[in-house]
Amino acid sequence: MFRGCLHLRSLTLASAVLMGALLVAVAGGALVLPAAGQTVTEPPTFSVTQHKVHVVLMVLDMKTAEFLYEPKTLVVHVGDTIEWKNKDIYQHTVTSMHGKTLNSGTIEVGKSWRYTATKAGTFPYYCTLHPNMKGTLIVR
Amino acid sequence: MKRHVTKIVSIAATVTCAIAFSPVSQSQSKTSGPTDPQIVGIVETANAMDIDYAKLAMSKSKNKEVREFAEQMERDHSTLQKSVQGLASKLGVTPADSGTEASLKAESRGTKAKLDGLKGKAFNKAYIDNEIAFHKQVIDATNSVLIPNAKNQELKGALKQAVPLFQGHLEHAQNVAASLENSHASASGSSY
Repeated sequence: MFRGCLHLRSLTLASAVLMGALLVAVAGGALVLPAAGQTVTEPPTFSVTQHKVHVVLMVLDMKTAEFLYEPKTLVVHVGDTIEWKNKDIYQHTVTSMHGKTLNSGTIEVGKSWRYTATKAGTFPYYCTLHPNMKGTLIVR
Repeated sequence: MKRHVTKIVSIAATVTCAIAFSPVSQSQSKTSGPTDPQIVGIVETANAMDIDYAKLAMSKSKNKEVREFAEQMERDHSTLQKSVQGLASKLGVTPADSGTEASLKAESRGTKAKLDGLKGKAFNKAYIDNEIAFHKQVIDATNSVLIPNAKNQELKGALKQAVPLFQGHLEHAQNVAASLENSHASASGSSY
C-alpha cells in the first residue's frame, strides 16, 4: 500500500515533467500537431502495484487447546504488510527462529504488531514467552 | 551447591507428584477421584505456589533472563488464577480442601525456604530447575488426574486450555536453563 503510494507519487511527478516539457515546447513555437491519420504515440504507462495487508491472529484455540498463530502459515509478497493481533489473554511475541527478521518484542493483550516484508524467503517464527507457539511466514 | 540444586529439584518433583500420587489422590481415584471443588482448590494452590516462587525470584535474582521469566510467571499465573476463580464463581463452585492441597502447601513452604537460602548463580539455577520440574509434573497431573476427574464440562475445558500454557512455560524455562548453562560455560572458559 505504501509502495503503491510511492508509485503514484512517481507517476504524478512524471506527468508534471511531461506537461512542463510540453509547455516549454509550445512556448518555444516548436509544437508540431499530428497530421490527420498520423499515429500518435501514447505516453508511457506506469503500473501501480497494490500491496496487501494480511492479518494473523494470536489465539488460544478452544478446540485443539493450543496456542496458535492463525493462519499458522502465511504466504505473502515482498512489499506486503502483515499485522499480528494479540487476541489471547496472555502476552506473546513474534520472533524469528533464525536471524532477526521478525522481532516484535512483547505484544500486549489486545495490541498489534506490523511488519512489511522486504525480502523473499521462508521465515519460521515463534513466541519466546511460550515457545510451543509457532508459525511460518513465506515471502515470495 | 550441587546438593542444594538436587534437593530443590527433588522437592519440586515431590510437590507436584503429590497431586497425582498422594494418599488422598490415590484413594480418591480408586473411588470417584477429586471432586470439582477439590480440583479448583488444587489448581488455585498450584497457581499460588508458582506466583510465590516468581516473587521470590524477582526479589533475589539480578539475572535479566531469570527476572523476565519470573515476571512472566507471575503475570501468566495471575491471569490464569483470575480465570479459574471467575469460572468457579460462575459455576457456583467453592474451592475445597483436600489432602493433596495440604501436601502442596507444605511442600511449597519447604521449597521456598530452600530457595531463600541460596543466592546468585546457585539461586538462578535452582529456581529455573524447580520451574522445569514443577511444570512437567503439573502437566502430567493435569492430564492424568485433574482432567479425567473433572465432572463439569466447562471446568474440564478450562483445564485442557491451561495445558498449552504450562507447556509454554516448561519450554521457556528449558530455554532459560540452556542459556544459563551456556553463560556459565563461557564464563568458566574465559577464566582459564
